[in-house]
This record gives sequence, structure tokens and C-alpha cells, in this order.
Amino acid sequence: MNPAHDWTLWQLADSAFPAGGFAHSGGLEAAWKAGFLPDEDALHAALHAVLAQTAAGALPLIHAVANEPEGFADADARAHASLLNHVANRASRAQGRALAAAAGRIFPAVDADLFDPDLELHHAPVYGRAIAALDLDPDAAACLFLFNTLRGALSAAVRLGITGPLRAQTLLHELAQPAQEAADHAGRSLDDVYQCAPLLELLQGQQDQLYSRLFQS
Amino acid sequence: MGRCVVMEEPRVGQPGSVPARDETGVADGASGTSAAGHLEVRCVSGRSVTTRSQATAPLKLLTPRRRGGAAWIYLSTFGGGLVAGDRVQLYADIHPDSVAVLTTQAATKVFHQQEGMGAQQSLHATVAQGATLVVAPDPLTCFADAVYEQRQTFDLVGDASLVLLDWVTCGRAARGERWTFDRYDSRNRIRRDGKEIVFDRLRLDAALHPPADAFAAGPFDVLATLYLVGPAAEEGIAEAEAWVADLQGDDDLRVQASFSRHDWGAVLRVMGVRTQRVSTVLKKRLNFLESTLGMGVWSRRA
Repeated sequence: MNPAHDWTLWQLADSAFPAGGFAHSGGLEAAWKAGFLPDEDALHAALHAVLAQTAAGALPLIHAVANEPEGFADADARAHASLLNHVANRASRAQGRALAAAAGRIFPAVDADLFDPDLELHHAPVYGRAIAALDLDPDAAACLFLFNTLRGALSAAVRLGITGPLRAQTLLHELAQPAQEAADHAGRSLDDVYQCAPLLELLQGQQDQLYSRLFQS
Repeated sequence: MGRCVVMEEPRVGQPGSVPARDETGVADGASGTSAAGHLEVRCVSGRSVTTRSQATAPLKLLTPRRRGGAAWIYLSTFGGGLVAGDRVQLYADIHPDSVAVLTTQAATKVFHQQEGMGAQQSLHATVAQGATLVVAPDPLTCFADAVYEQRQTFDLVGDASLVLLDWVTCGRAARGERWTFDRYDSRNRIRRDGKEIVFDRLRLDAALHPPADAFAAGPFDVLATLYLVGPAAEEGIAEAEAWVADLQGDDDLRVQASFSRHDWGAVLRVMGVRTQRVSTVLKKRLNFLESTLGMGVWSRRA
């Protein structure tokens, strides 16, 4: 094993890595504004839903591309066709493009030409393509994708005042086990993409209609 | 358009009136059966006509004549529901410039599974240039312990249009049965000229992520998705967008909706606490079709 692999994973996990994840709440802001996050139990349930939805909707694309990088364009098209909620779709493209640009500049192993600007460049397939180029372990990288998504949602919950910063870290720790289980259950092919939290998805789709908002999604 | 010959309408609605195909027969060790249906709608002298309508039991296809220029096809299954092991496959061919409505006469019930085996329904439709397909069934209801899998694929050609409603209720709410089925897995795929524009799969699985979870169905009893694609859906897209914008200012939390516009059309998601209420909401969203169909989708039963 190349010890540099761990180092690269840590770098992808670092909040200083310029992938733009902190502009997104994963639907929490809209859920909160609509009155669906009255207490911490509800927040806990919402985080579980974010986990389940990410594992079901994004992880199969990451695995498919990591396993077969030449299928990148197909995975990108599937991501676009399956993210029917325009808010989630836009957030995925914004993060995918940010990640493609950052990875291309930072890592010599990631050739900027890997990401055809004529494609949509959704987050999950770009991530899968980058970890393939970096020769990272797909399972570890998929878990990191879940971690980054949850960390972003929790950070949003803190900024919205739904929970406090220390409590958020406790929640992040408590969700390690369910996150691992969600990652283990995730499918590995393009046809395995699905969604399982319809209310979260619906509420996220209301984001643009919020009177005032802190987040893009 | 070339001259179309009006073909004799096949006898419909009688299980067994069509020679059984090899798909027919009792499925392995289960009480259910496999059924296949074939539909063909063509434009004949400015009217849409069902030129082929064949089905094997337990699937029935009823094609009543109705006013307006569209062809109406009612799907039903013997006994009004699907039992474990039932496998229903329907193929529909909507020819150029014709208009077809595929609907039901009552909610489709899915009964409990047997040893993990559930019921499956699939629909594969091709919608040709200038044609419109409206798929507006009553909701599906999965009873306690039911396992249900649905696969629908629509291949649109050129400027074909599709209005597709897919909805599911929590079970027999009057009996206090809420989201107690084992698994519901519905996948809708829409392609235009071979390019996939929609791949929407909803999976509610008691073992993995229970449907009654707070951010799955949560407090709601009905989940509905309306896909609006193509020129014949334009008016409906604008209407749905305006309705959702109005709804946001409403304090009534019993109906929630979101609207997403795409370059190929739009998707409307609706969740509500009462089937009747959601039904009323959806009927209004489908009202725009009256000008195309000559009558409302659910205005009268066959």
C-alpha cells in the first residue's frame, strides 16, 4: 500500500479543500423553514435521511465510475436523469465542477482533460473519476463522500442555529455506524441508483422559493 | 399522413378471449399468474383509434368509445388487485399524431407477499412523432406485508408528449394501516430519441429504510409524481408551476409540493395527508388536458 493514499484521502476530507460543499445544506434549510425540524429528534431523522439518500443516489455512481472510468459520461448522464429535483441537480453540478477544477489543479495524477466541459459534471461521477485517477480505495473514498455530505449538512444545521457546534460533532460521531451500514448496502452499478427519502427530496425542491436563504441547496 | 385503414376493433375485456401466450401460466409455486397485454393506437381520419388491444388474464383492457378525439384504455386486473407472484407486462405502441389515455377504474391493490415473492407490473410504451400518451391511473395501494415492483419505460420520438402520473398510498388508512408493506420499488424511465431524460426510482423498503420514517413518507399518506414532457404538456407545466408558487404562501401543511423545470419538461411532486385531497389536487393539475382529450381525465368512469 502506498501510504500517500491515506494522505490524499485526508486532503479530500479537509474543509480547506476547495470543493464548495459548504454552500449546501442537503435540504435541511428548506426542511427547517417548512417546520419539519422542530427538535433534535427530527434533526437526527433528517441526517439519517441525508445518509440513506446519498448512499442510494450517489454511491452507486461513484463505484461504477471508480470500477470502470471509461463509463464516466454514462454515469454523468445517469446522475443528470436521476436528480429530478432541480435544486439537488444544480448543487450536484456546482460541486462536481468545483471538484473537477480543484482536483485538476492540485493533483498531477488528475488530468484536467478527464472532465469534458460539455458534460454536466455531476458531483458523484466526477468524484468517482478523480479517485480512480488517484488510485484510491473506492470503499474508503465512498465512505468519505458520505462523511463530507453529512459534515456539510451538520455545518449547515449549526449555521442555521438548529443545533450547536459541539452537539453537531457528537451527532457526526454517532452517525458513523449507520453511515458504514449505508455504505455497505449501497449498489455498485448505474441501475442501482434510487431514492428513499421522498419528503426530504420534495422539501429540498422548495429551496428556491424560500423568502431568504443562507444556502444554495 | 398516409391513409390509415380502420381495423376491426378486437374484442376486449374478456379474459381468455385472446390465445394465451407463452408468458401465461402459473408462476413457480405461487398463486399468481403472468399476464401480457399489447396495445396499439393509431390516428385514423383525425381520430385516435385503438387498433390492437390484447391481454391475457388476469389483465383486462377496456376500450370504450368516448367523445373527443382520443383513444381511452382502461386497465384492470381480475379481482381488482395483484397477488403474490402476479407479473403483468404491458406493451403500448402509440403511433404518429395519435392521442391515448391509459387509466384505471379503481385503485390497484397489492396484497401481501408470499415467502418473499411479490407482484410486478411493467409497461413499455413507445410514443411516436406528434403523438401524446397520458398515463393517469388511480393510486396504487400496498397492503400490509406487500412486495411490489413496477418498471415503466417510455420511448418518445421527436416531439412526442407524455403526461405520466405515478402515485402510491399508505395502505388501508381507515384500518390504521399506514406504510406497513415490506417493499415498494417503482422505476420510471423516459427517453427521447434514445437519450435518457428521466431515471426516477423510488424504493421504500421496510428492511433498509422504512417508508414511515420522518423524511420518507413522514406524516403523509400519499406520494405522487407527475411528469410533464413535450409540447402537449406545456400548458400543464405552466399551470403546475403557478400552483406550487401559490402553495408556498399557504400555511396548510396537509399538502406539500415541489416543482422542477428541466429542458425537456417538468416534474411535480405532491405529498398529502388524505387520498381524496391529493386526488382533487391532481385532477386540477390534469385539467389542462381537456382541450386535447375533449374531456377531463377522471371526469367520468367507463
